Amino acid sequence: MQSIIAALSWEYFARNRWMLLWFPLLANIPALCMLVPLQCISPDSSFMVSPLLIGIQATLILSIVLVVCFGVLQSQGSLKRLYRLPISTLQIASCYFWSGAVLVGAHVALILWLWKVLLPIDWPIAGPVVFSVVCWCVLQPVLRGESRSLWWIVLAGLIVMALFIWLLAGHGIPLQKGGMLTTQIHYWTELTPTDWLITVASLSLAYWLTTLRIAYDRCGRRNSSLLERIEWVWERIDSRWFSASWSFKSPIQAYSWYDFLHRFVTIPILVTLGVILSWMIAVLMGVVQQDYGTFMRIAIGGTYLSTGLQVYSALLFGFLGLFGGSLARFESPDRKPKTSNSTPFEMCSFTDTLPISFQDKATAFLRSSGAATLISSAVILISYALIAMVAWVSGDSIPSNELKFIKSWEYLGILTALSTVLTFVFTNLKFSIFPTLMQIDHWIWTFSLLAILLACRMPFGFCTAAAFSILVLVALVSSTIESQLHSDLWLGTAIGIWGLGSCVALAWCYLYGNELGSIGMLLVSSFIGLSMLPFFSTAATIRRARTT
Amino acid sequence: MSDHVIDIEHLSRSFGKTQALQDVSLRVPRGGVYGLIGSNGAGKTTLIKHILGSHYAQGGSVSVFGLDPVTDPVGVLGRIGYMSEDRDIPAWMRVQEIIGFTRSFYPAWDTGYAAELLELFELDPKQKIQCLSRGQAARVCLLLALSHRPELLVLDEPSSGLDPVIRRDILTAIVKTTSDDGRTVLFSSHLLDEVERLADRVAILHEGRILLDQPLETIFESFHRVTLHFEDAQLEAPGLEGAIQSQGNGRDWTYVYCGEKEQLTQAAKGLRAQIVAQGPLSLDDIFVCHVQRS
Repeated sequence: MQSIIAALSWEYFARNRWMLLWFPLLANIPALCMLVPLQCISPDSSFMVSPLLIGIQATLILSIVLVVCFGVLQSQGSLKRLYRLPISTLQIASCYFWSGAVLVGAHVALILWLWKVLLPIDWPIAGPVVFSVVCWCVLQPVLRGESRSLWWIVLAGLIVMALFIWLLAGHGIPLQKGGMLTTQIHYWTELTPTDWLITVASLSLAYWLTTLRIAYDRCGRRNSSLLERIEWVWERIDSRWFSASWSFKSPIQAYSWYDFLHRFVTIPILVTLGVILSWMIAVLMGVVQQDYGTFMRIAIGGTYLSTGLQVYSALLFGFLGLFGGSLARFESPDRKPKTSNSTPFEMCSFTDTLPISFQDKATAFLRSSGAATLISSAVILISYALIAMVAWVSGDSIPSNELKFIKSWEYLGILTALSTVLTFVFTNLKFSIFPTLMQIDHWIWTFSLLAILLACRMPFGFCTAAAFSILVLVALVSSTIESQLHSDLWLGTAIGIWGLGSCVALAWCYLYGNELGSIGMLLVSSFIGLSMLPFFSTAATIRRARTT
Repeated sequence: MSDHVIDIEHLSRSFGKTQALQDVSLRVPRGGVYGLIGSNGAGKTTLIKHILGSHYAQGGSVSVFGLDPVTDPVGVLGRIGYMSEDRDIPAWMRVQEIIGFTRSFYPAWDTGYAAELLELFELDPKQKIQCLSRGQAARVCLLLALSHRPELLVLDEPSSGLDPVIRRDILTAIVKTTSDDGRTVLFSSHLLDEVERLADRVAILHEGRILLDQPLETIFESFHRVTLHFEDAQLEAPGLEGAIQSQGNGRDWTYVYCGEKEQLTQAAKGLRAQIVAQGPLSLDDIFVCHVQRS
């Protein structure tokens, strides 16, 4: 090796060449899901370059930047392994901070260039690339250095929120009502002096703070933030109140408790925090502005966003779970405890050796994911109920002229029901969709139907939705048969789940068939099918995963 | 009821191109302490994972208490106390929480014994696992493995992280007590003096193969270090039947010999050599000899 930098670079690329390829590919999935159908259903090619896509572009940029940043961070791993090498802290910080920034920028530039080549879109590259580099850099001080507190998640969330506001400002989207519908919005084609100032200032500050945190971490010095101190005090109180007499009635109850706290507790916490925060802001703004409309708008909007947060967090953590991560101990590389040895399906060697049957473990998993889903949905419903109560007391209703997207209370109810179904589906991703994707025979059925429908010259959107429905149906039928062969589920329970699922899907299509259309009905039925799938497939998946 | 708690027949396992276990046959008798020794990567943990049913047998068969651990994990794991090498217990739990959690899976859990061990190991029940040292985490693992008084105690590198006092006094006492109760202990270790102190029977595993599987007494009776004096100076070590290692020059050569003493005397006579020194071998020497020879 020529130098330390060369040695570190070699170690990095030798270890991570596949990861550096997979994550940018993964980042393309949201774009693929949104842009390809849009291209197919758009009336003409001019639609793909219209300003109407600015909102989608901004969301996609944030999405790819976060995925790419996560990928690069995972590939870099913990910097602790370098602490014992004869390298200065400045070298460690500089090497990983700046090389990460370059990698993130290059990945984002490449992805956007590919979209530009493959799709009829003309989206700018420079703005998003600078944004991605800033994103990477400002998250570094939070993600580096050991912290025993989980408050870093809140801090990272706040930083991402601030960055998103900058992204919106870059597109000329004001943070006011109807911001997306104003005529001033535009693509982020040019970087203003303010953008450059933000970039230089945030990069300098982030670099200094990152180096400081790594230096502190290297010499074992704790630099507790205020939030960490608050958590420490809470820990002391919690420890004092802690009851020494712990007992569970059954292995299922014990495992549900473990699984809920280990994997899912973050979802209801995030939703509750979102709802509380929106209520606090709503009350504060309502009182300050002496305006009922402002209060209602923020309270409903905040709860509405919390519904999105519920689904998004379930999706995010569902994906994380596939790779062995978990919600409660969602650690950045530097925070991985020394005893942690997570494996896919959350089966560490300890829980793997507990004498619990596959059926009982499956029941425990379903209970814990169900509890997380229901608690978070209940929080949202309570928030809506409180808003309805306030509206009823004040003799008013939803200020529909200001919140055009919310048509009625019924709409909010439907939305919450849908988010409940989706959350349950996503929290059980690894027991439903993932095993399905691994079965080749499922794909044969799916592609066969897709080919037949395309040959019949059916619309592409319909064909895709129908193929997805068939994939789910085939998975559901084969999982049901497998569950009966292994006696994982009592026949009566299986019939009950099928009956209930079918009734809900039929009722949904009957009541909202006109609004949903054929594609919508197929998708809703598929998601209801996916929510049924874990009941049949979880025990089989655990059985397969336990023994290698 | 079978006399063997563990019955492994011609077990083979590979991970990609790496052959982790090759035609391993092993029978662990009921009662007593069985020591599994081997160098790093010898396949000790892989073998233990087969016993726990975490790995299926690619070739051969594994039977624990007469049951297949892959198809009947509850039947097998309910009777096993296992302490893993990596001490992988949920870091976010408190000591008392993990005890309460684990207790619910074992109907035979002995609450009094668990409390006794908690005191013996000087563990704070309110402490979080993530705040424990590696040694303390090892003690928690040991407590969890022992408190349901398992028929088979499987300890994977139990001494790793434990301080000498716990290791020598407490671990020894626990293992001996368990064995005296008629239960079985299977443990893997790098520390051969510990194996020598605790085990009744020892298996040496090297590169996925069992090199030796005998009661400790028989091993010590069979292996000797012997120095032979030859009439004439020898350029190479003269071939001695039963010798597994030789060293020396000229007229004096030292052998590690495996066999009966009478046979050794006869063999020495046949070579026109005199036995000038003879002594026992430590387990350490026997292990090194076997590994070098293989």
